[in-house]
Amino acid sequence: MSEPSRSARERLIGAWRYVGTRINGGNWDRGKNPKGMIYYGPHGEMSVQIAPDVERKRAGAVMTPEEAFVALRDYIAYFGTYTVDEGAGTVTHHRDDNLQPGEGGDLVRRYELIGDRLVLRPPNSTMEVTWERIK
Amino acid sequence: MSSDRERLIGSWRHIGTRIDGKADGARGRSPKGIIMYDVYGHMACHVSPDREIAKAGKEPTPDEAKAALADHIAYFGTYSVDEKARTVTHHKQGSIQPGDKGDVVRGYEFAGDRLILRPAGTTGHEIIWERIK
Repeated sequence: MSEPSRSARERLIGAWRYVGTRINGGNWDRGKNPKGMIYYGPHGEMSVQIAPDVERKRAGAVMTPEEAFVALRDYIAYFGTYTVDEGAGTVTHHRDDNLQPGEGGDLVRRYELIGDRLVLRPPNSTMEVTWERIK
Repeated sequence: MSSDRERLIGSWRHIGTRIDGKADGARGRSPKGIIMYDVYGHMACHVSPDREIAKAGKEPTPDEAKAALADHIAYFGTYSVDEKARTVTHHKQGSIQPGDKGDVVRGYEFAGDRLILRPAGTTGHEIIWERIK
């Protein structure tokens, strides 16, 4: 099937590697080599994780509050389901659970598919998160 | 007959963890989670404890961060399957848990729509998943 004849939902399906985040024209600082993955399943399930490139140390057998604070900062990890609105050009992430305390509910992202790349943009923001298809 | 690797591919919903046949209560009554294996050898896993974690301010305090991380599993990377040993190895590229690096080996068993993973070197410890379809 040629690309244009496939629905955006079909094109989203699969796993994507995190490339980077830009905001106000500059890079969002997640360290030198942050890693991440977003996954859209064929049955409407999704998950995402982005790990900033920082050392998540644990000196003893049990983490200290300070070690937990460093590990958690800016780490994105949530999962749930997703729906696509092709007319609006948006994908909504319905979060079942989120690593970050006190943050739940839905997230709407405008999507743009360019070749092997996927760019997600939160509404009313200059932020763009770029992903590359894993293949 | 598909290979074990092919049978793993897809996403699986967390059903629960059992220790010596009993539900492990460490993550509360109804923990949620997902594990996915893709066709190219990538995987991601996330299991959240069933508990409310408060956050008073905009950013969590160290104590709130520690409470949020306790018993929370979130990592991703690649995987490889040893069909002879019936194990799948998760090669972690990122994990939320401080100090959590390297590989984890899981014995696997398919039971209908379910996948049972058993951490290598343990007995009686089962993590149960159901295929999302």
